[in-house]
Amino acid sequence: MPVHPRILDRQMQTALGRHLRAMFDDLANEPVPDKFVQLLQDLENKEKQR
Amino acid sequence: MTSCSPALKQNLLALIPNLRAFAISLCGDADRADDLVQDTLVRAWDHLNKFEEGTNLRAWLFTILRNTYFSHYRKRRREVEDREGTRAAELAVLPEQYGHLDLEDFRRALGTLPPDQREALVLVGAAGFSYEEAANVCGCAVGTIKSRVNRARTRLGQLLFIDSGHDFGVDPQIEAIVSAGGQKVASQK
Repeated sequence: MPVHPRILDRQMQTALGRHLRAMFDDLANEPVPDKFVQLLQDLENKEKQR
Repeated sequence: MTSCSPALKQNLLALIPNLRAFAISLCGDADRADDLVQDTLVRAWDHLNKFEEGTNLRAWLFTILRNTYFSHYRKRRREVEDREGTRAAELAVLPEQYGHLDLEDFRRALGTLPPDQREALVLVGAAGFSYEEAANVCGCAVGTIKSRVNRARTRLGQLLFIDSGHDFGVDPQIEAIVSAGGQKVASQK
């Protein structure tokens, strides 16, 4: 008996959602790159010099 | 100009990986994404006095980033039109299980979406914003976000799960979904 298209669609969307979040979370869980730490520090220092 | 409180600076710092994730999904390219994040941070810093502490810093930063992207980073050529035919063919796989997705295929498929759809999908489906929050970030109506997300999902589903040609044979269950959607991927040239 064939699976209803809506159920297959739901399964596809669940898989897509998982991949989207996994892709995003992988990147979001990385440490802050040094260059950005430095950037914020530079911005702060520049401001203090005003 | 008011200086940044240590707490705010700390929160800003902690959100950078999030911003990078969003930037990479928009730009596709890690180097461009890092440039975009850098520009975003500089703009955010310049406008910190406009940010109300206690409100949603993440949404505020994402808004600056996407505005910067659409003003300065988005590629001018119409990638979607160029790629639709050939990309769909390249990306077609016939997975045994729906969880069996190649990450690289997924990333490329995401990259073929029009930027406004990709952005909406990432904000809602990956970054965890509500439709209302995403609408605020993008400066559009909630309904617009919903329709962009739906179109993005449908398109990704077609690219990643539906076989584009006759090489693999068409799974009749999948064919049913394609027919129900009113489009035939196999007829793309």
